[in-house]
Amino acid sequence: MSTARTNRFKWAGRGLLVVYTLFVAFPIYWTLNTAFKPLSQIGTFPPTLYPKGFQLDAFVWVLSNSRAIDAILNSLIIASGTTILSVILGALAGYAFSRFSWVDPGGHVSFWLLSTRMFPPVAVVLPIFFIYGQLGLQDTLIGLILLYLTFNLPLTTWLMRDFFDKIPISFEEAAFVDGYSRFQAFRKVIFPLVRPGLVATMMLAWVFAWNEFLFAWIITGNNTSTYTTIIPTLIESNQIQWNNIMAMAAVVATPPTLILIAFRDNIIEGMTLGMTDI
Amino acid sequence: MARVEIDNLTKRYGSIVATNDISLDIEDGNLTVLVGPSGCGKTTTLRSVAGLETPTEGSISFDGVDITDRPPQERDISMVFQDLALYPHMTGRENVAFPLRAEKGYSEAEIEEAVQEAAEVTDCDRFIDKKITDLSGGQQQRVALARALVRRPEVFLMDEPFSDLDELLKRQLRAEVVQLQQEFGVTMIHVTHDQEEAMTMGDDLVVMNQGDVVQFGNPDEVFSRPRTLFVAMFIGSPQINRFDCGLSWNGDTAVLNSGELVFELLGEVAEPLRRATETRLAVCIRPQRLSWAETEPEDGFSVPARVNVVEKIGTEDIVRCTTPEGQDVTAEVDSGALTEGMEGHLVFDPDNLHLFDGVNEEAERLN
Amino acid sequence: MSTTRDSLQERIAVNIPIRREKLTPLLLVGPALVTVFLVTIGPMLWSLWLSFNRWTPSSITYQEPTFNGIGNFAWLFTEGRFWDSAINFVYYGGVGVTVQVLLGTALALALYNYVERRSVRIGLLTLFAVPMMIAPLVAGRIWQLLLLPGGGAVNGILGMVGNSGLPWLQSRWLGLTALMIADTWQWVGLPLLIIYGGRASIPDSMYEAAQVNGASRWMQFRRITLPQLQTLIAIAFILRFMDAYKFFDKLFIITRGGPGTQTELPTFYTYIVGFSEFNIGRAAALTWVIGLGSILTMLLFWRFMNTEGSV
Repeated sequence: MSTARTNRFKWAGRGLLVVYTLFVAFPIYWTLNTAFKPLSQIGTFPPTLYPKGFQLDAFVWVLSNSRAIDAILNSLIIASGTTILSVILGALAGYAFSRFSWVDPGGHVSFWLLSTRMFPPVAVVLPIFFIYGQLGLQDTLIGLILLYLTFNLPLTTWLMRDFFDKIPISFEEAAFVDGYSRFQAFRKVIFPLVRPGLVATMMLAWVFAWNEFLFAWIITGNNTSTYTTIIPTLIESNQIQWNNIMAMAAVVATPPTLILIAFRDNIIEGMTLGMTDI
Repeated sequence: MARVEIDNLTKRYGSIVATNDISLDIEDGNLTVLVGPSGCGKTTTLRSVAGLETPTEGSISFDGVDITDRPPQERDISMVFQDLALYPHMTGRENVAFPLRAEKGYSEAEIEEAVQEAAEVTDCDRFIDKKITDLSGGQQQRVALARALVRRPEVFLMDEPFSDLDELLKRQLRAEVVQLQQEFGVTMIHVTHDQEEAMTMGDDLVVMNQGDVVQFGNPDEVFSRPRTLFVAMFIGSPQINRFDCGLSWNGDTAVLNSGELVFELLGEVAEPLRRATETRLAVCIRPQRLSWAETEPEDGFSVPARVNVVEKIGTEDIVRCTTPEGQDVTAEVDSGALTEGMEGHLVFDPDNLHLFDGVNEEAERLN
Repeated sequence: MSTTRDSLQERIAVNIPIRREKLTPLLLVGPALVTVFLVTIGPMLWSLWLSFNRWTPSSITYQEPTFNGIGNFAWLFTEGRFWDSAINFVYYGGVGVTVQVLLGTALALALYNYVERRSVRIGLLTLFAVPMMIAPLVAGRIWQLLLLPGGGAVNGILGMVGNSGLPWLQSRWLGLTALMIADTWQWVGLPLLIIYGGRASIPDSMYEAAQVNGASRWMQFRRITLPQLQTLIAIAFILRFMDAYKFFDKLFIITRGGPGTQTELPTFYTYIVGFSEFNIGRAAALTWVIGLGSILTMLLFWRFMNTEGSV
């Protein structure tokens, strides 16, 4: 009887997984399905479950639309710039937090830093909007790059501290005893070992900056629109060109998805703030 | 090679005192073992010698040169860490060569030669080119030793490197380390919590407890003349037998009464007891110094006992006995001599008693 | 000359951990802390000051901020639109986050216990993490398409099985529910991954010991799995709850607060007050009310982590 019940649990659990897998996969499928369909097959009843007459027009439209291309390039520059800054600053601070316990007693300082990330971003962007107005940083790439440090720097600091913590202190002490300075020990021993974590941290910071909308919507203007800011206003004709929008969605979602697949373990560890190590 | 002098070393972490005013003079070319229970300050002492901890007070010198203020890089030392600290992103060979690459001035050929030699003496040339993660625990130990030896340091430090190994490998490596140390004539400081390891390896033992050095001496001395009750209880396996007794005098006869057992000591043996300041004393006897008699000897000292458990350890048996009132007594006797359930007497020579002035850890030796 | 140096060295020798490195950690941490002060703490302090001022810089007669005490807060608590957004938040946070965490927990345990092949488990974990990598705004666009009342795939499929479909986005509760579904799709992965990691780190020996003692499956779940995971479940819950305070992008694209202003959530309402009514003092007051709610949640989190000890 006990096995019968165990089996029931097992099949219920597996059933739930199947249903949920469909739930996760369906919107992804529908995005691609819509992007490859001609407009006439969109919004029909019954729905067109797969594209009849597979066509690439929507993707061609995205890649030849100068507004979309410019926005994607802006996003690329801003995300990359903020990633470089936040990873450099975060790695330095994370190293210090990990190796000099007196600058981070009980982990309180780094936790406090992380907790600033929990504050609603609108609390930051409201004053920043006016400060940037004064400083002439509105609608500039550097303005958004700096603003994105608000959420990325606490993240990179926290994650890098976590990745440094995984390297035993004795690794450095052994190098000191053998005659290496702290900097040399870092270069020869710590850096090669922390590199996978560093790459994952970079990727995650990049993805968060790439996907950001609220700050960009408020700070950017015509010169520096990111791809997220044009998604609400991309189509101006009477009929919404869903195939074009979904092609755009597919294009901009591709880099983060590839990053997830390529750096899976460390990205998952980073997404859960270091809690999950699969 | 150097003589290491530690003067009045004190290390405090906030209100915690890790080492309390320690002074040690470690002779050039000696293998000195710091031994004690965890938290006794032995690792702090070792790390201070390495320069990884900065003493709160006191100084350390090598061959008369004060090196207290020098960072580890500027001390001619090498160290084997408890977790070995071998770098997983390098092969064994790269790990061994690592200390040599810190200093400019070695040619590749010289490095190659030194690594090869270190690998040969530590017997790791067969697997030196493998990745660290592909090596077994024992192989990793050998690579770590080779890395520490390759530079021929003045002082060689070992922080419990054998604690994760199985018993057989541990014994083998201990013997090899002693042999290497003698061959190279290097000054070695070895830290362990394992008193057996300390006894088998050390030229000298430094027994530590709660931040203090309780005894400094060679293994025989420490074993046969423990300076405090703590040392008596800590050193030696099986653990020493202890009877807490009240002391009274009957003329020239010292009467030690544990409530159950009464020992009357006379003459020279009783003499040291005159120095006792406490009224309750610990009277100890090593299990190796007890022998078995069927009947109570006429004019000898003995403890009535019943054999409870016999543990075989080879040519000897360790027998766990109890007195009629339930006090535990352990003896080490020839294998097969006794069986469980036997009743008789454990006989000893009063010259072999260890007498301590009091019943707490710090109680000092009287005889 | 040399004596002076020696005595100086003697003096600084005492009680400084690896002496020459006293400055190093400050130099390493300094830039990050200064940056956080400049881009986060500083602006927030200014906004705290603004919250006690009346400031409407877009009005025709431009004016400087003028102090008006707790006027902005007083206004806030009598403003129906704020309370509507607060009620929406309670519904969205209470129901949506609970569903996400419970669903994530159930999925994580099912995945760990009932899928034997590691490759399948890892593949599914990766798939479940994909929505988290997509911009929330883009996810919003995708769900907007799926939920279109006429011609959307969801209603279309409901129609194919004989249901007339639902008027998504045309009423307050359905609109909020639509947001919840889209957000669940995107973020169940987070509790799922956290709980999965927690379950994977419970040693098998714990369950084996329980089995030897004859504990039933249910008892094992009650006595081992739940107690071991309870801290992580709480953390997942609170992390998602903190995100609910910030909820903006999907709302902006799917309902825009509509119909009317019925589906507004606090952050979105702040955006309206700040950037469409340009009443900066009031918006600042709103951000601080939301922020304090967030901090309270945070303290709960902090206390939980300290009392339960793990992570």
